[in-house]
Amino acid sequence: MVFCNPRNMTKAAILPTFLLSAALFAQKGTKVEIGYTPQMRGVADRPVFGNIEIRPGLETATASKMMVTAVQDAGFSFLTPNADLTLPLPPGKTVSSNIRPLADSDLDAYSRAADHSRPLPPNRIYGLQYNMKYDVQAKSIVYLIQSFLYQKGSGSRDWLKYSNYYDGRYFEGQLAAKIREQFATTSK
Amino acid sequence: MLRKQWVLTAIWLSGFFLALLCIQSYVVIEKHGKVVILPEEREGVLAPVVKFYGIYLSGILACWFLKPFRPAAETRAGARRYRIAVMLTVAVNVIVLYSCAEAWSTAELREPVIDSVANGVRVASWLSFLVGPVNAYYFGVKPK
Repeated sequence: MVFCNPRNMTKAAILPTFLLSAALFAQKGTKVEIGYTPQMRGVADRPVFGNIEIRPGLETATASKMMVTAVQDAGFSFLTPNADLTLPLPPGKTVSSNIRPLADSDLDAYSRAADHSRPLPPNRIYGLQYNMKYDVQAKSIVYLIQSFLYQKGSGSRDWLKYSNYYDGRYFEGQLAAKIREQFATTSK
Repeated sequence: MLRKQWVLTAIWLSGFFLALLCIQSYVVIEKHGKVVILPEEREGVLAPVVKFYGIYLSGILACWFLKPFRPAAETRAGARRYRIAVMLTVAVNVIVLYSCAEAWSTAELREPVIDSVANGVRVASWLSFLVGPVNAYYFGVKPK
């Protein structure tokens, strides 16, 4: 009976909308979209200029291979799934990399490129981890990359999440560039 | 007897505060440009040290006011026995302090600070049979 009151009904409608919006905004990360053309669909059987060609049926394998290669090329390995990486990773499933310590040169580059208002304190060791997933759509492969920064001291045992502000998009952009690089190299 | 109690109490309190100071220094002072442990880890490193000293110091401080044990048949705790008590107490405290200060003494850490401190305190706890009875004698026995 409480919801029969129009004022309460408005409140009841606002709450789910707010929660839905919050859930959408909560999904942080960087999206990378790579357009592709199924092979043999070019004009007169020629490849379409500027597009990556993927043979039909190999989209998932290609998308997975590019992600795995990019991650390994960036110096990371896969923490989960603890699976056979010779098989394609399933689309839509989030996979995590290990935590790789960042070198001082990486931090210098970050300080130069990222938001300078709150730089990372230099007196600790930082580690980076990626969470990624991909999805194969009709004409594009979409990757979602999330980065997590960790910290430790020189005598620490475990990594602790860096809870202060940092520019995660900078690190996500680095992996995104690696993925694009993989596609660019393959399409040549 | 009172002077001996003061000396033993001073050894335990010094050991405790030096261990705390050493652990705090890992958070504040940088080694090769990096802190040894983060402030968030301090509690985990401190816990075994506080537990270890807490047991001894609570007993010692309580025995300054209460004497739970009956007077000993032999009241003259000779100088030799007292020297043994001091040496054993110092030895056990040095084990804990060494484990706490190990990160400062070596250029390359063999194990994380949290593990080295826990291991040192564990060894010192195993050696409680060396310090427990002698300290109980000097602090807990009623004067005749």
